[in-house]
Order: sequence, then C-alpha cells, then structure tokens
Amino acid sequence: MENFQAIIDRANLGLIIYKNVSGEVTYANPYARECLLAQNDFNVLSLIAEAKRPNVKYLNKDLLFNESFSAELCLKKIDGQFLYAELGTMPASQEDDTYALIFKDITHQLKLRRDLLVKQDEIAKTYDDLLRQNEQLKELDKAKDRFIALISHELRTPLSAMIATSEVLKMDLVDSEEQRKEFNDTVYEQGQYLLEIVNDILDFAKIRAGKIDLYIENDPIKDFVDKLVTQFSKFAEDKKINLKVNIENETATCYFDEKRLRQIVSNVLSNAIKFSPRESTIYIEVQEDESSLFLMIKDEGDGIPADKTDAIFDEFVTLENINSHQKGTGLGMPISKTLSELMGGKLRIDLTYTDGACFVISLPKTKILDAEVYRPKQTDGEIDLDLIA
Amino acid sequence: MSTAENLAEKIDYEYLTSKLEELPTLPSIVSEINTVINDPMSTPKDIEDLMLNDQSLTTKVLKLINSAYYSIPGGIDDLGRAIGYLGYDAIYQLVLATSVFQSLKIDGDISFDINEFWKHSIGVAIAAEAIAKQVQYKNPQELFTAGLIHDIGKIAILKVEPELLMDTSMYARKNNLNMREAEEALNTYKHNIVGHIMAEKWKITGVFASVIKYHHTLNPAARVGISPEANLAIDIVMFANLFLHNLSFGDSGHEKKEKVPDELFKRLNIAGDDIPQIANTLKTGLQNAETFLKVIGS
Repeated sequence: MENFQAIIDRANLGLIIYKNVSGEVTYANPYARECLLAQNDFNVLSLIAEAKRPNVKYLNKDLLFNESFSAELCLKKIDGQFLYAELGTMPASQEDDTYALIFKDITHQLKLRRDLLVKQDEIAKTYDDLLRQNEQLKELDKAKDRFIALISHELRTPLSAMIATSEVLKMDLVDSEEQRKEFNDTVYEQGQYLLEIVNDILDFAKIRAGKIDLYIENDPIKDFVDKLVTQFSKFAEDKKINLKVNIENETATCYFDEKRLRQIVSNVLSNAIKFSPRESTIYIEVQEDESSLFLMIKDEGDGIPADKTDAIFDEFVTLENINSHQKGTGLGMPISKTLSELMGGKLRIDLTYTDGACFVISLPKTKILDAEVYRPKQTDGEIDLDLIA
Repeated sequence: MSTAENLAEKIDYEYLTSKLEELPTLPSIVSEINTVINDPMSTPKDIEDLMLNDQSLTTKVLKLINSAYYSIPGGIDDLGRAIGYLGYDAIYQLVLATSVFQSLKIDGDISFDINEFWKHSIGVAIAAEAIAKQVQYKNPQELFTAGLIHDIGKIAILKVEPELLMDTSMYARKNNLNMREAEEALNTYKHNIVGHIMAEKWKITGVFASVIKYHHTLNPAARVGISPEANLAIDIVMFANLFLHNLSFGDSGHEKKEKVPDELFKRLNIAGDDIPQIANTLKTGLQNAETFLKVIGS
C-alpha cells in the first residue's frame, strides 16, 4: 500500500478525492496541486468555471457527483486562469461518501493545436493569395504580349506610310507641286500619329511606375478652354461640327497642370469629334460648386451604353480587347482618368445626359494634394512631346 | 559625498517601492491579452477585439511586425494575419515589450544615454533568442522579450533616482565592475531586485520575472522557487548578456567585459567552437536592432 501511495505522489495524472455534495477536498496528489495552483485546502466546486464559450464543455456539479468521463473539459485554476483536462470522475468510497477525480492537464496540447490551426489557416490564406496573384500575373503577361504585338503593328503602319511617301519625295517621283504638298502632309500626319501612340505608351509606363511629374498652378479656366477650342476648331470644321462654349463664371480659377489637362481634354474632345455626326454640336461647359470646377464635354453622338462606362476607363479591359480597337492604343481614356485623379480631380461619364455622351472633368478649387506638386510649370529646355494632341 | 554614498546608509526598498509606485502602470490590455493567449480556445479575433481598444499600441505592434527585424516579404497589415504568421505568443510579447518601453520612457534631459541602454537590451534579446534556438529552448521568442526587459530595474532607478544610477554607473566604469558589483560595493539598490519589484507591480510573471530577478545569479541553487524551464531561461539570458558586453554592443551602464563562466557553457551544452556560429547568426539581427529600437521607442 505504501508503494501505491508513492506511485500516486509521483504520477503524471492528477488525483483528487472529495466529499459528495459539499465538494470538500480530502486528498489531492502533487500533480493535481501543481496544475491547479492549489497550495492550501480547496473545494472542487471552486474549479467550476463560468461557461463563456459555446463550443467548450465546462466542469459542472453533474459531472463531479456522478461517474463521468470527458475528453476535453475546462476547469478554473485557483488563480482564475483556465485549465483544460481529460477528466474522469467516479465514486471512491461508499463508506466516506467520497468521489475521485482523475485528470490529465491537456492545456498545452490544446494551445499547440490552436496555434497549428491558426498557422494552417494562415498558410491556406497565403496559398490563396499566391494563386490569385499568379493568375493576375499570367493575365497581365498575356495582355502585355498582346499589347506589344498590337503596338508593333500600330507603329509599323504609319512608319511604312512615312517611308513609302518620303521615298517618293526623295526620288522626286511626284507629278505636281500639289502632289508634293499632299505627300508632305501625309508624312507630317503619320509622324504626328506615331508620336501620339508613343506618347500613350510613355504615359502608360510612367503612370504604372508612379513617375508622372505634375506642375499644378491656380489658373483661370476660361483662357485654357478658349485656347483649346481654337486649336480644335479646324478639326471640327472638317465635319461641320459646331463647338459651343458656355462658361458660367468667366473669372473662375482652379488648380490644374496645364499640360496634363490639355492632354485629358484633347483626348475627350477629339473622341467627341470623331464619334459625332456631321453638322452636329459639341457643348463645352464649365460649372462650379464650393469645392470644384466642372468641365463638361457633351456631344450628340450615339452616347456610351451604361454597362460600358467602367470598361472605357479600365486599362486592363482596354488591353484585353486591344484587337478590337479601331486605331491607336485605346489607352487614352485610362490615362486621362488617372491623370485627372493625380491632379486631385475626377473624370467620369454623366449618364443622366441622354442626347449623346457627356464627359465631366472635375478640378479642385483648393490645394488638396501634397505641397510639392504645386509649382510653376517648366517652360524651357526639353521638347514637350505630350503637347501634340 | 556622492548621492550613491549618501543613500548607501539608508538603502531602503520600502522607500524605493513607494517611489516606484509613482511610475505608470502597464496598460490593462497587456494582462488581458495574456489571459486570452493562455486560453487554448481563444481565436485571433479575440485578440483583435482587445487590441481594437488601443489603436496606438496596435499601430506600433504592426509597425514592429513590418520592420526590418522580421523582414516579412510583402508585409502584413492585418493583425489576424500577423497572429497566423508570427503566432500568439509573439504578439503578446510585442505588446508587452512595447508597453514596457512606453511606460519607461524618459522625459527631459539626462546624461545617461538611454538609447544606448536599450540598444544593449535589444542586443541581449536577439542573442538570447538565437541561443535559445541553439539549445532548443521551448519558446525562443519568449527569450527575446526576457532579454529585452531583463534590466528594467536600471531604468526604474533612473526614473526615480537618476543621480543614484549615474553615480553607480560612474563608479562601475572607474573600477571596472559590472553594475551589480558596483551596487554591491556602494551598498545601494540592486537593479535586479528593483526590476523584480517593477515586474510584480506590472504583473509580469513566469519566466520574465525570474530572468529579471536572477540574471546575475550564476548558481541555480541560489535561485529560489524557479521552474527548470525558468532556470534554463536565466542561464540563456545571462550568457547572452555577457556575450553582448564582450561585443560592446550598446551600453548598459558599465564597460566590464567578463568571460562567460565554464559552468554556463557546460549547463547550456554550448562548446567554445559554437561561438563563431552564434556570432554569425547574430550579425543580421544586430544590424536590425536599431530599426527595432526606432519603432518601439517612437
């Protein structure tokens, strides 16, 4: 029997003997005391924790005063912290009316299990992230391949035209001065078109790399609109399109980068002219509220279907459908939208206008961007490729 | 007569304890998180919910997680994911370390280089974690925190009796003693005891409290009421501390370079040949110590 006591004292299992009903502990082996932090007399009822978590089984009176077994049970240690145990209870002595409780502390194992589950979850999430990113990269790679193929083609067409035409000029094979002028014009136009494409590619690359330098100043919008309309009037006249300007407040100013805004408006306006029927009107209007100025370009064309408006501004959709573009890179709109946002404004399509398409460019009336972008534009030095619309 | 000599005659922990009472308590979130972490049924969301109550702490912990020290590719901006990546214990330890740092911030001008002090502590933290891995200590990350806070007693003294700490430090430098020996010689407050008072005040228990109290006690028999695990932790931090002093990394108040006792080598089962390898593992960690310091001290 002495031997038996020694085994229990050294056992890696907790043994507690306690009285029925009262729960008063009459014996607890060292393992039990150590796990429960019970140095002094204690009562098994004090091990009952308040049930807090719905998916956890807690020790209760029923289990204590009956024969029971639980694979995973929550107890409260003397210091109030939780202990999880594999636990069994049974009547110990009928004579003394006592019960015995045998338990193994499995808190550490459960903690490891929890940590493992969290880790597993994290690995699954990371794996999903990687798969998604991989998919996106593949798509992007494909789109870039298509883009390069198309752009090469797009670049070759005007180049071939320029070379063929200039060859004729070089060999002096023209019949008349008129024809010479015509050929000269072709070289010039094709050159301009080429530049347009190269500018788009450059801008797209710059935007992707976050390397667009802005020179934003507070300037009157009227001067800007007048200059641009003069520039486009010849182009519009060819289709007998009337450009009608209406500026609500002629002295209004706002913050914009002149070069970039011209790029945006030129893009919108040239599209409007391209898609407007002959002898129609394009309205260029400027309105304002407390914080912004709104530059609107309305045409009398077929308009843009509501379900296509997002796609127009999405460079990925543009790249995806690049084969269906009529001419050029199709990146003009995504570039214009990003440029507007970089200037603290927006470029959107007003769907409430139903007589054609209506593009709205909003521009801030106050400084809302980082201080460094508010600086005078560079006027001398480098050749401004972007200015040619 | 210097302040140290003055006080030597009335070394009185009760008086000091009352002064330490004036120091800020650790935010309650530290112990709340500890409770959640010790509950095996808790979920990352439980911790996230708790941390929501302390945005500045959460921001700092996320900054640490995203610092060069952990150099997690792509970074983590979500606490739940951070728990998954680094584990529950790591998050608790970051919370604890950040809170201890904040609570022991020194305001005003003093001639003690607090930055160099923490640099030394972080060095010990990094070394303790590396050695813990080497000797297969159960939870190496825990010893990072233990190393980081092992000397909080010095900062506590600095906060309530700045002259005293600086005099002790000066005495140690003059006589080539370590701080503990200087405290002994001047019969003044022992920083490990003061640290332990702080640990009690802050309810820092277990291995952390043991390391703070006994990191100058080489003989395990003289460490009272310590679990085998805590004994190993103390040995590791002691080793790391001596090691870092030999590297002159940071400044904990003295310049004495002591040989790591053979006894400690033996107990940790580290051979002299292992030292270059440990030093090598430490290199990158120590390079990142400054970044860690910058974030945690900001």
